[in-house]
Order: sequence, then C-alpha cells, then structure tokens
Amino acid sequence: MTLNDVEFGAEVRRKYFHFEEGFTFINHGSFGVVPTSIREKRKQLLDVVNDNPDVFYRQAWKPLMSTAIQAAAEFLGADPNNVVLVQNATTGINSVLKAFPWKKDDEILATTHTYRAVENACRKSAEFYKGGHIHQFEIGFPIKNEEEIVRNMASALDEHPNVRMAVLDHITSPSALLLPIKKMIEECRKRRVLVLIDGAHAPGQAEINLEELCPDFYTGNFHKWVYTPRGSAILWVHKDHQGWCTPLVTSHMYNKGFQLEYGQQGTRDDTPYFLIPDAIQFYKDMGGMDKIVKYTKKLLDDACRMMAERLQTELPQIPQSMEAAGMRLVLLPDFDKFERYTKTWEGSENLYNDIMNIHKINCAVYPIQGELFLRLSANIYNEMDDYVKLADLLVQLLKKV
Amino acid sequence: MANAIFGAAMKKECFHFEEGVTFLNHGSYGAIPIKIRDRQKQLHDELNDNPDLFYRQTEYQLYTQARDAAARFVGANPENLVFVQNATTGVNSVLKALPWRDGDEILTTVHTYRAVANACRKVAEFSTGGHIHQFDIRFPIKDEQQVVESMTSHLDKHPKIRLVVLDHITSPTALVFPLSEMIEECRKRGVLVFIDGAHAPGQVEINLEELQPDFYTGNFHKWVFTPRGCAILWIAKQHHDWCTPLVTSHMYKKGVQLEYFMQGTRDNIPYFLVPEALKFFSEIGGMEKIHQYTKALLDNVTSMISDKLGTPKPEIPKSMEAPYMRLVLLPEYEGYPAGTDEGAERLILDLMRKHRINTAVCPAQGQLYLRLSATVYNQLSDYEKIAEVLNALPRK
Repeated sequence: MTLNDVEFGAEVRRKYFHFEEGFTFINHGSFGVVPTSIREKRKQLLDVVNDNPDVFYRQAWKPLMSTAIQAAAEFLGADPNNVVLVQNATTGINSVLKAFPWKKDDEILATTHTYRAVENACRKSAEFYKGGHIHQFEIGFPIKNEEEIVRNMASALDEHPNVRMAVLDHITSPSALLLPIKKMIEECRKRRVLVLIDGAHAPGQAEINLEELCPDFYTGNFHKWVYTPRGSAILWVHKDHQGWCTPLVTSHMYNKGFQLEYGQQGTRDDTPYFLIPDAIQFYKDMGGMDKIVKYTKKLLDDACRMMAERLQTELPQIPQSMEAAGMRLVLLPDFDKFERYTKTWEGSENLYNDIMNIHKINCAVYPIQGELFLRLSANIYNEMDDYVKLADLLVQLLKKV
Repeated sequence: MANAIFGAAMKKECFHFEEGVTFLNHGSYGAIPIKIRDRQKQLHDELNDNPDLFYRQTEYQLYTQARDAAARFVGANPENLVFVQNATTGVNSVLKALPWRDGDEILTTVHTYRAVANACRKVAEFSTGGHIHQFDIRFPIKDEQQVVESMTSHLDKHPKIRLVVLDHITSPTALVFPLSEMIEECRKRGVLVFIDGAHAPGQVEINLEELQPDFYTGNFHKWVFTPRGCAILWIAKQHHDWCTPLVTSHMYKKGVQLEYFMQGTRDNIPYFLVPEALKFFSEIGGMEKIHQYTKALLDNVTSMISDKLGTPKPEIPKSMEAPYMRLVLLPEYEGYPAGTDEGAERLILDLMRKHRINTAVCPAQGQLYLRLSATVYNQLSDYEKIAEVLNALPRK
C-alpha cells in the first residue's frame, strides 16, 4: 500500500501521528517521533512477549532479530553480516571505543561539533585505557566549501601523528552539517587512521551505502529519522574488526561470534529493534527519501528565512551540499536582558526548557562559537505555521524588554 | 485484590497468558500482571505524545521515585542504588570498570550463571590475564558451613583472588547462600565481594546496608513483577568514584547517580514501573504470604514428581531452599544426554514445543535437574501435567 498522495503537514499529522494537545513540535532531531501504527504494533508485540515469555526469549526473538537486521542493512546498503543492533548511537560509539585495543599514547581526533556524549566517551577511553589525548579540529562558520572541512581534518591529522582513530559525524548534532565523509575517510585511509562515523542523525535523512562508504565503524539511530520506537540503532563494523569488537555486555554468547554476541545482552526489552521493518515500510509508504527530503528541505528554507527576517538575524553561511535534510540552524539575537539565557550550554538549556515549559513549543537551542542558535527540525507532520508560532513567541519575548 | 486466591483464580484475575500453555518457569523471565502491562503502555503513550517533555523532564522524576521505592524494598541507601537493565548488565558494569591489576584472579562457583562466568572470563582475557577459579558445591549439602568452607579453602589456596562473585540464589540449582557469613570471610581476607542477586528481590529479605557487600545486583523483572529489563545495582560508597557505567554519555564525571541514569536515548520505562509493581506485590499479600503458598506447593509437587519418577530428592539444608524454585532430579533419558547443556536445552525445547509446558532444566553433577518455579498464579494441576510427561519419556 502506498500513500503517495497524502499531504504532508496537518493532514499527515492528524492521520498518522498523535501528539499532546496544545504543543508545537519542531524538534524531531532530538528524540524522533513514533507514528501511531508503529506504536500500536509495538504494544501488540509486547503482548505476545508477555503472554508467553519462554517461547519469545528462547526462540521467537531470533527470526525477528535477523529480519530487523536484514531490513536495516538493506536500507543502508550494508552486508547484514556486518550489522548489529544497539540501543542508540552513543552505545554504538561506546561499544567500539571500549573494545578497541588501544596502545599507550594513542590519540583520538574529533571535532568542535562532536556530540557531547560522544566526546565524553572518547575522553573516558583515553583516561581509562592509555592516557592519550583527544584533539578536536575546528568546524566554524562561515564554511565556504567542503574542501575546507577536509583540509582542516587533514592538517589536524598531520599535526598529530599519534592519532589512531578519527570520530566523525555524518550529520553534526548541534549544527546540522552534512559532512563530506567520503573524502574524509579517504584522507584518513591515506594516513592509516581508523574511522568511526557517528551517523546518529543519518539513517532516513541522508543517502547511505555502507559497503561503498566502507569506514571502519558506523553507528546510526533508527529512532530519529526512521520512526522506530526508542532505542533502536545500528552498529556496522568492518569485517576486519569483528574479532575484537565485542559488545559492552558479555553474556551467554561470549566467543560465539559478532552476530550472536550482540544479539544477546541479558534479558531486556528489544522490541524497538523488531519494529525496524515496519518503520522502514512506513517511511517508504510516506514517499521514501526523495519525497520526504524534498518536503522538509523546502519547508526549512522557507521557515529559516522567515525566522531570520523576523528575528533580524541571519543564517550561518554553509554550502548547500552540507545542509542536512531535516534540520537547520538560525542565529538567535542577543537575549542580554535575560539573565538565564547566556551564550553557554546552561543558557541554551534554560532557553529551550522555558520555551517548552512555559510556551509549549519543543525546539532545540545550541551554543556555537559564542552565540546561541536555534536548531529547527522539519518532518512530514510539520508545516509553516509551527515555525511562525515560535517566531511570534521569540519576537514577543524580545519586545518585552 | 487482597482477597484473591493464589492459583487459578489469581492467574485469571491478574495475569494474561497464552491459552493452553503451562507456566512453570517464572524464574527465567518473570511474568507481568495485566495492571502493570497496561500502565507500561500508558507511559509509552505519554512518552510518545511528547518526547521532549518526557526525556528532558519527566524521566528523571520517574527515575528517582522508582529508585527510592526500590531502595526501600531492599534496605538500601538510595544514593548507593542505580538501575541497570538486568543483573548481567550489573555484573558487567562493575567488572569492566574495576581497576584490575595484572594477574588479579576471580573466584566464582560451579553454579555461577553462565553469562556471569563469561563476563568474568572476558575480564580475565581483557584486563588481568589472571585465572578464574570456581569453588565446588555438590549435593548432598549437609549444612551451610560446607559451602562457606569450600569458599574459604579456595581463598586461602589462591591469595591472588581479588574479587569473589557469589550468588544470593543460584540460578541452575536454586540454592540460597549464607551470604552474611561468606561476606565476613571475604572481608577478613581483604577480598572484594560482588553478590549476583538476580533472583533475590521479591524472593528473600534483603537489607543491603546491613549486608554491606561491595556490590550487589538483582532483577526486579523476575520476582517483583516489573516489565523487563529492570534491575538494581548497589555500589558501596567507597567504590562510587570508579564504578562508572558501560555507556559513557552526557553525565560523564557528574557522579554515580547521574552517570547511570543517562545512557543515551532509550526506553527506561521498565524502571518506572517499580512503584506499581511493589504496590501489586504488597496488595496480594507480600513476601510472607507468598512464601507460605509457594513453599507448601513446592514441597508437595517435588515429592509428587520425584516419587513418580523414582528419583531421590537433592539433599540440601532447609535454610538453603529458595522459596520459589526447587530442583527435581531427572532419570537418565534417551536422547537427552545427562549432565550436558545440549541435553538440557533439547529437553526444555521439546517440553515447550511438543507439550506446551514452559520450564527449566539444568545440568549439574553429571545429571539433569528439573528446576520448577512456583508463584502466585501456579497450582497443583500445573505440576501434575509435567509429572506425567516426564514419566512417559523413554529412559536409558
């Protein structure tokens, strides 16, 4: 069944989603959203588990797991033998970093836009294992072209020959930048540096062919842009590394191989994984990447332009090829009359929490290069009015003082 | 509901199971009352209707409420208690964070849960290069002293042992260990103690601040009726600074409580059902009332089955009998090689698939043992069925 003629925006929202009354949702990027049909299917699956746990945990989960891996792998152009499921990208990152046989003085290269939790995991590995350094190469606006990013990474690598592994975002979290990872992987290969791609935001938002891309490791969430319940993500590990890249929880399948080890991490609820095939089907039924991305890009173009006009600020200068499909930044004006909204992590948290709690608009705010930016998300249930609401609010807030 | 009778009446009123299946294996995967299942679905709806609000705010409140309730239930200072998804994860969290020295050794037992033994081996391979020792516990067990002595003689023979991993209630053999004494003996020798209490919450009294091991992990999704996976990890104060979780995330270096709370975006709702589950537990009568029922039932059915099969009962002291689980020695069967994992697994699956009876079978001392569970929805007729089936199986 294809639903190609359904209209994105309010109609889709009404037909396929369910949200709390009175709230505006323009932050799909942080936590994703689960369509009603997937929510129902998951409840049904939980009932099956609970009506006969023995049959489920001893047997029925296995074909569900392999079907989910097959579907996820196909969706990402991957060999299913190289794909395992983890609860989120942070777990994927931790799995690699903490299994890796680090040597003393090994260093890691990340960026100034690396997701905070991932950066912490890198620091933890360094602290824990061998006391090496974490370097972060700068990504800063304005960005003229992709080459700039590649060059910055390459010079950082040349400056620090002890870098053993580069941790690179496919789409950066705070800044919604689609990085030129193909070229970056090439530069790393030239220098025999391993590459771990944090693709937390990428599945469903960017074209991915993992066997072609061929990094050393790749992790990506399905519970953001592919509509599965949380937590549901993949970890792709190059065949050469599968021998040592064991999971965080050692359990019954110790030494039984990559697939079996990750498949069993103690008794828990893995039903989010098993909804991957249904979620991918929903994604396709909604029109698939072409249709969805076309809609969200246009909506963000219009919304961001409107927002920048009304706030009298600007959009960061980045090449169009580096624009993420579902997320975009808008520079926020000074809130200097508001003590709580300093241009810091704390200030950004205060701002989005207040906007959520007091004004019932869910959005994301990030501090970058000494400024606060709005990170707007767009998905198939959004329309222009959602962003107008936020613009109205912010203008009002700023007028008040 | 306080007047609900255990057995078929409670099964009908409070639970929902697949028709025509006999459930004698609560110990492996637990079972969730309808009320708790419904509440879990409600929380899923709340989360999905407003993920931002849930993850940025509601979650932490629900987590601390649940943690405090769990802490009260196990006599713990809530500051020392965190949630993990299951006991296996609890064990892995400690073992993989511990600052091992080269050559450190670990002591377990021959009845240690396979996954836990594997985690010990992984750590030995990974961090220490040291040995894993297992002290023996064999039927007949005369008294608790026998078990304590088996442990202490191992400790004295192998001074490099840094950590002992002891079950509160063993998984394959349903034995309650004399923990207070065993912990004391470990302390005397300066050895760290990790208690794998996977089966303990809801089955035996626990007072963690009194017991004072170094670490304790226990599932709530077995005998406390929460959804899976929901378990606690208790960490003695002196270990808080290094005992960090498996997933390093936003709360890195912000302390044990915050670090374990935040392990990336995922479904933590099973933890939040602890208060409801504890309410259910107390409404149906609490531990004492359930014990009375299950102990009598298990005494009855184990005699009935072992008489029928003509096998002797395993000799263990009454004080070491688990209230909700009991072993029955199986005769040697054709096609189910005694004392092997293969034999045990095949028998479990055949019973499950051919006869629609869910149970557990464990190899020990060259034999196969039936591990029967009994809880509030079980009654005599459940066990009569399996007695017949087992008696009819061709023997060697």
